[in-house]
Amino acid sequence: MIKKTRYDVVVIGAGIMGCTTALHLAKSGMSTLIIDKGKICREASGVNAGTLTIHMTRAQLIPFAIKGWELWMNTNKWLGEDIEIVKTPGLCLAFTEADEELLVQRSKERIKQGASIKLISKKEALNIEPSLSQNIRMAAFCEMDGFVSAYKTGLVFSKAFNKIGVEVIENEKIEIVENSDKFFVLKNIKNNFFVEANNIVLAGGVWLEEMLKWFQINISIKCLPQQLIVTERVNKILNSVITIANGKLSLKQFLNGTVLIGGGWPGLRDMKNDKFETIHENFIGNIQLACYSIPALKTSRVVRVWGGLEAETKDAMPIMGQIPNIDNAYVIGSFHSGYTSGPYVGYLMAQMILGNEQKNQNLFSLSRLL
Amino acid sequence: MSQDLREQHKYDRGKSVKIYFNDEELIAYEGENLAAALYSSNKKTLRYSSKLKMPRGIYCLIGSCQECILLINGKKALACLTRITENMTIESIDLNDNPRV
Amino acid sequence: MIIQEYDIIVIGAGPSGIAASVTSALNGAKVLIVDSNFDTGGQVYKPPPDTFQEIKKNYSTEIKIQKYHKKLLEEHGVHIALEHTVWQVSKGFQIYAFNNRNKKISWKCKTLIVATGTYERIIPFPGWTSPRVIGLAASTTLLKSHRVLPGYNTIVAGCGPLLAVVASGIIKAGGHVKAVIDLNGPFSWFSSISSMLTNPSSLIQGIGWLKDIIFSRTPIYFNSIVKEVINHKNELEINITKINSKGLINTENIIKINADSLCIGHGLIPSLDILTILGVKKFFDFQSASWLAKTDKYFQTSVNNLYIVGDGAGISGAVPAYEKGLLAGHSASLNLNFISHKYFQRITKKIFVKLKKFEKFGKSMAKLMTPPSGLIQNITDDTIICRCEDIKRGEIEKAIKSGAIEINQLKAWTRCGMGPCQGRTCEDTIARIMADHVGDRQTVGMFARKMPIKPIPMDCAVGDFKYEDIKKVEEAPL
Repeated sequence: MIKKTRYDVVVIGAGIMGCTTALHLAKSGMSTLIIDKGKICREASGVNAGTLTIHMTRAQLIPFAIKGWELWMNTNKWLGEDIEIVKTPGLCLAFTEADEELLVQRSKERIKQGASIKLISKKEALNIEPSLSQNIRMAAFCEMDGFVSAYKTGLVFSKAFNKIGVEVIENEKIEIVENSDKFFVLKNIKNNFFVEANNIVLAGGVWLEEMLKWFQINISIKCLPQQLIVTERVNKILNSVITIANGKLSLKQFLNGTVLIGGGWPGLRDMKNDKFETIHENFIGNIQLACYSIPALKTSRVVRVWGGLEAETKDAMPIMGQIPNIDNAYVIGSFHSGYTSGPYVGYLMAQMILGNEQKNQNLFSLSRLL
Repeated sequence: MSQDLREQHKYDRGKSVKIYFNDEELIAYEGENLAAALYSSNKKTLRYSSKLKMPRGIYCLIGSCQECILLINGKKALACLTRITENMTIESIDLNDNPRV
Repeated sequence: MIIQEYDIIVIGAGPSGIAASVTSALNGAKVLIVDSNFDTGGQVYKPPPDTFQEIKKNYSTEIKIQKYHKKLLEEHGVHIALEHTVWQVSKGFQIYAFNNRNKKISWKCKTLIVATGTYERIIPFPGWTSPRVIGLAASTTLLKSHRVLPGYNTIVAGCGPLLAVVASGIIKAGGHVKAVIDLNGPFSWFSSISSMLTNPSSLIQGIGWLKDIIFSRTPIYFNSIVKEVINHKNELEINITKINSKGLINTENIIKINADSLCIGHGLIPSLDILTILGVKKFFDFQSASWLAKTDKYFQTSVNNLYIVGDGAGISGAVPAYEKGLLAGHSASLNLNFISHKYFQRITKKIFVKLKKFEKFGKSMAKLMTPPSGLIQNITDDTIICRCEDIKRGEIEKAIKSGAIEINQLKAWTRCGMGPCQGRTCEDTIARIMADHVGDRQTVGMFARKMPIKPIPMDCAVGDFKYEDIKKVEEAPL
């Protein structure tokens, strides 16, 4: 239940970006409300693989991912409690000559951006990860890798919000936002829901395209449905996060023994019914790649396949900052590997709103897409 | 006490064969249901549960609950959907490397 | 991988699946029937393995029916795929299955008829995960099909006609039933007798079951539940207590009985895994306390050319199940233009008349199988609810207090339903617990179903392949 009719800031979208933004704004004294059409941290932020890898992050976003990684490893400091985070090294594999070339090139780009990636031999890789296939030629190694259990973060944010006084409204879809001179009015007329805000932050993930229309902004944001696969619990076979040269595989084993397989293989998404459909050949291809990399996986059973979501702008770069020509309205989203950088960019967004951050003001400006 | 819960007198169960459960030799009948055969030979504990490591055995017998998952001739399969063949080797799946989370 | 195309595929070879298959084949369709079991008959007509020989060749009615049904399938050219587990069904009906030799196979069809029946509901109690505790429906399988006793000294508990079936089955097989614990009272049995009269053959069957129990002087405890089971080395100590009509314990009195096995069950829940993945419209039926698919009177769901028949469409027993299968078979045949509208009207009219006669009996039996909602109050915080992940009631209550009001949210916060059974075993209990806090089962919802429908071994799914064979996808952006 909302306690006021007007807030200093209302954040629409309770994923990792929205939640972190709201958290920092509230910490600095703004009365904050966060709204989601579903449950907190249950859309893209709830179903992704939770990989905190540098190997798969877009090169240009590496500085943000590195800072994000550090925040994930220390959630006690900013989120109030330790969450289930596993810090592991990350290995990116090459099986063929072409893989090798690609790996060297991509690692170089990431090193340029500040990542500490080292190229290692097959022998060294097998030393770190004995269950690796004997067919690897070489690998890239990064000390800074790991993963979180994405589906659990909603609960942790819930608790933090409770403590700090951020109000949370779930299951309320904002249909329309009116912009008067002094404040914004957010409405769902059918449900008789109204709330006013001095500042508004759109953190709606794959629904940002729809939301930006409230401000007469028409840009196209692609929604990429991505396949995620999980096994039953198996005995320990992975010490590290595994990726491959072309970026189309991610493998990690949680503390409970289940192995999560990702890599961005596409599925089909029925946007109207919010349903993900597996493309059979992509399921087979994804697990073949996984079993090729870690042969011991062949003895396990797949128990579930679902769809993650990634939002992508036309130039595949994020949007973050003020909405052009609208005072006090902000937008954040469409970060590739956004889960890793989420805690940091959410913090940056909050600083921008508070007026403390001038440097990155135009880095991912929305106006470039207009 | 040697226990055999198989119903007596009504059926000729066919060819009797040796099978091996966790290295122990048992007598069973070719074509019999594996879950039932193990149960009737007093091999009621088939595995230990994921976190609390408590004994588990047959439960639904229709391939739904996944409690009777075992390594059967080296491959994972449900005992309740498996028929006995001669010299079948059955092993409990040891998840002891799994930390209790 | 060979992909065979059929007009109609039926998943589940119980009476309703068989009826649908045979009818469609008779009408001219190319039909495949699939089942994970090693023989046809479903849960009702479960025959012993074909390697068993009956010594006196005195086949029971059920075995006779099973053999007759199988003959019908074979005579009418229905393709039969036994020992196949379906793990994925995609839109437009591509079916993926794996067999008992770990080989995968795929089929395509224009119309899909789901006849996967039900699975068992058991309301948990302390000690229920013991290997000496098995389901009531599971016990019928153990007895009828596998010809194995649950124990030498068994307690049979729960509700519904399966109590009598299992108790008399144990006695007939030479075992000993120490007690029957019925959570219903004797009155509820009598109240169903009137409806049994519309189906005389069932009444005779019912009397047959009761006769064995009465003659063996088996004590029956009415309005009672198993409160707790304590595991000792080779036996169980079973604590029994009385409940009121709402299912709540209303006394301090506990009766302790020792036994070496416990067969317990609280009804059946229609299996909706495949239908849910395909996106059918559903509703929560408060009478049977289960989710059901919305269908037309020929059992077609809200998705075109997708049918649900048998107990999966609502529990009413084996005989109505057969008639439902016939209706769906004819409807599917009509939609594929194998039969004329005139013929369809004529023949389905007769089936509806038959169905009406059986419905009342089936519904009253189903009522006996639905446990009262109060039963969950007896589950202690220390009792395991999610068997796969060893999650206790206390953890579930904690998550609800932290704000989980919908079952998938609870799943995300506790891991309930994330194990190999994907929530089939614990969903009903968790939903009941949540409904107590949240208001009703409709709000609580059901676990989202995703493929695979059953766990699929990786080595079976990947097959034999080389690195070059792996499908190429667009490289991730730099």
